Amino acid sequence: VKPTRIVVADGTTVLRAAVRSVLESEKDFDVVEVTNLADIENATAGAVPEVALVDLDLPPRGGIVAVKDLAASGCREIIVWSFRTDRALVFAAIRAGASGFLHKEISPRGLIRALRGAARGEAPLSRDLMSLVIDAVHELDLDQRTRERTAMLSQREREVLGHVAGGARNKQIATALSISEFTVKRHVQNILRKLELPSRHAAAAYYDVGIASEKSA
Amino acid sequence: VRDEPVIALLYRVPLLVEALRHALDHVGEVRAFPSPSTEPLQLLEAFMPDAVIVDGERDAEAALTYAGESGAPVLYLRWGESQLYTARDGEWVAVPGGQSPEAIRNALVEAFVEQVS
Repeated sequence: VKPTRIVVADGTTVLRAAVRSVLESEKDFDVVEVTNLADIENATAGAVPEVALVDLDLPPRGGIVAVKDLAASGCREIIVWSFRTDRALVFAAIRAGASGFLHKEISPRGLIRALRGAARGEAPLSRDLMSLVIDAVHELDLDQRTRERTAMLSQREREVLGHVAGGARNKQIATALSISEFTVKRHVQNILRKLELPSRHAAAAYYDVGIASEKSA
Repeated sequence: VRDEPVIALLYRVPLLVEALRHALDHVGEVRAFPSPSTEPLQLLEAFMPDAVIVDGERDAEAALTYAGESGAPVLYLRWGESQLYTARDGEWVAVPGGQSPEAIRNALVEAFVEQVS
């Protein structure tokens, strides 16, 4: 079986040595070590690696740049690893073209499993990072539902909701929009029904989160 | 009586054990303890290693205290800076020469030599 060619790009010598030691004992990996972005370019000039393990803080400009370069060179599976695993960093790596993200505190067996999986086209992700991604998908789902409900409001209802969110009473809203107080009351009832909200207070909170933030974005 | 020095490796990053396994082969017997151990200082005081290597902040504090009590060489690898430190007079002093497994081995050997000279 032809070994999987893997580039290990990390500025920390002891970690590169550890990864080499772990992978070479397995016989199914052909390891190329690089310490910075320029070395990646040299290492991939002749033959594109099947898998790359890239330090998020790879010198001199960080691993995200390296991920983009590797993806452009045709490397299929790029895994970023780091001691830092906050959500923004994980998503930045994935958006740049990474197919997985690992914590550097991974066990040797875990690393081998993840890299073998990557070679088969799987997307390795540490268990704690998986929950980050699931949370983000749920949030996207919520955003989507908010947009759909907001789209059900008429222009006039949006205006009324804006005044409700500002703390105005029906009479004040009627004066501001030159409509009757009865019409304002009907608009407010329709808003609560369409947004499935129980009260004016909830509608005001919805406006702040769902509409005002959309306007400022 | 020990035939060879015992080196306690209190590690946060399991790959560090792998990296040092061969490098320290002829220096001493490595005993690895995953971090965080409940009480790293108690562990060191009970185990009484001849040298300590750590890679985590909490273990480093305990190791520094142990170095003061025992005079044993203690090394601290700070991942954030990719820098190796050695304990000297209650403080961490940067060790020049990088943080490769060989650099860590050399720093440890130098510390042993300093200890006996």
